[in-house]
Amino acid sequence: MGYWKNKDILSMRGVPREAIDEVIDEAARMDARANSRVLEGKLIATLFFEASTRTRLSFQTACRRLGGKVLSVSDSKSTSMEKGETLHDTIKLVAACADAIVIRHPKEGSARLAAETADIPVINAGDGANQHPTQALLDLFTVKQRFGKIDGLSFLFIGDLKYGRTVHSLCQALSNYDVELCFYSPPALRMPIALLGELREKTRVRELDTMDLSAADVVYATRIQRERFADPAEYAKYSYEINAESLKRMKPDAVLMHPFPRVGEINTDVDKDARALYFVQEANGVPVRMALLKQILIG
Amino acid sequence: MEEENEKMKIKNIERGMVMDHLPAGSALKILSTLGVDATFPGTLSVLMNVPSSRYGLKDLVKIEGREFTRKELEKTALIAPYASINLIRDYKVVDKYRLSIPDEITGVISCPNTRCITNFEGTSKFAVESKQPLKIRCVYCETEYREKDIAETVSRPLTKWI
Repeated sequence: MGYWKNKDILSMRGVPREAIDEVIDEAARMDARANSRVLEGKLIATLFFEASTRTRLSFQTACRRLGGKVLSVSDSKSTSMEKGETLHDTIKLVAACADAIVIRHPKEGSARLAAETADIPVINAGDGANQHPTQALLDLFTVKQRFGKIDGLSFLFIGDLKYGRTVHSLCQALSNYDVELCFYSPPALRMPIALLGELREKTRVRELDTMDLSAADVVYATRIQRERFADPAEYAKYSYEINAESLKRMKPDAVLMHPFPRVGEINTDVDKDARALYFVQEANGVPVRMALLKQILIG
Repeated sequence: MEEENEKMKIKNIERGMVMDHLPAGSALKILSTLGVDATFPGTLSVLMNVPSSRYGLKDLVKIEGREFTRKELEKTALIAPYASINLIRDYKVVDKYRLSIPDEITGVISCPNTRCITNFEGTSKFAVESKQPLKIRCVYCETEYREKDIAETVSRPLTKWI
């Protein structure tokens, strides 16, 4: 117990199963609508140097529900970084003001640089295409909430797997469990080979040639960005849509997840299907982040 | 060494160092990464693609008038993980050691990932996950690199000679 006390959370690489279970067990005890004073007197700085809706709002909500206060940067243009100030110098100032930092930044490794600079806990809310550890935690919480377990399940990841930080973090977390990880993507957006190799050492991994939705317990869709393709024809070839017709191919008790925002990958005609779990998934960001903030700042 | 020198007709050096067992064809890259250029104050002998009973072919560099410290040579350990260094005094080998790759490499090479924060600020840092075969991981962006990736990346000279 107490794995996360005063710790940074920067990556799911090397995070043991017990630490994951601590957070998701605590999240199950959190009431995302109730107000408490657990974080009374604490000031959390949320530094979002990259666009975000749900991660930023759910961290701020989590903090406020627990009685803490928020210091917010939602645009680097409003800071001296616009004048060329380094991230290091920005973090030094923020660390002098706040009790913890939540940071999203477009450069990979930025959260770790922030953690080395600050003498307060740093939470990575997404660093370029590298990691998004709190998304992984809320995804795992959502799966466990639905199935009562994580072991024994089969996951299918679709979309931009090369630059998809949510997929990278979630797969590293899942490799602690007895699961099957399947991947389908355009050839140019495959999972990084080195990461696949790491996952293969710990769990079962398959790369699929077709988007076979029939075997997975969890279908995890991700957005493919048009700008990743120099050739629009190739983008058209590999862009996909999951709709009501696709769901007929899924198991009746399987679920469909997406870290959002969605831009056409999931048709809205799927939203009311009982297997569409993405709205529950995004709402779970609040209790999971409440649990994490409490464990890091209070224990 | 003397037997090799007889065969190759290279004069023994009085004082300096010999970098031996360098990968064939790597000598020029190694010298470049050490910042050796036309302004280098010492004398260099460079042998490339020399027959080696152990490695088939190897490169060899003899340096007189300037010695590099172990820390300076760390950078070349990434390109020549099996290199041996001989320190020469009065024409004799007085010390010999193998370049060893440390467990962590800081500020020696830049991260090949152009999106890594260390290419904009701070100092690069790599964890060495395996020495044979060589595998390092950027501590910041978590990208893994192998021997071939590293050899292609190492290009920034360590010093400028004035």
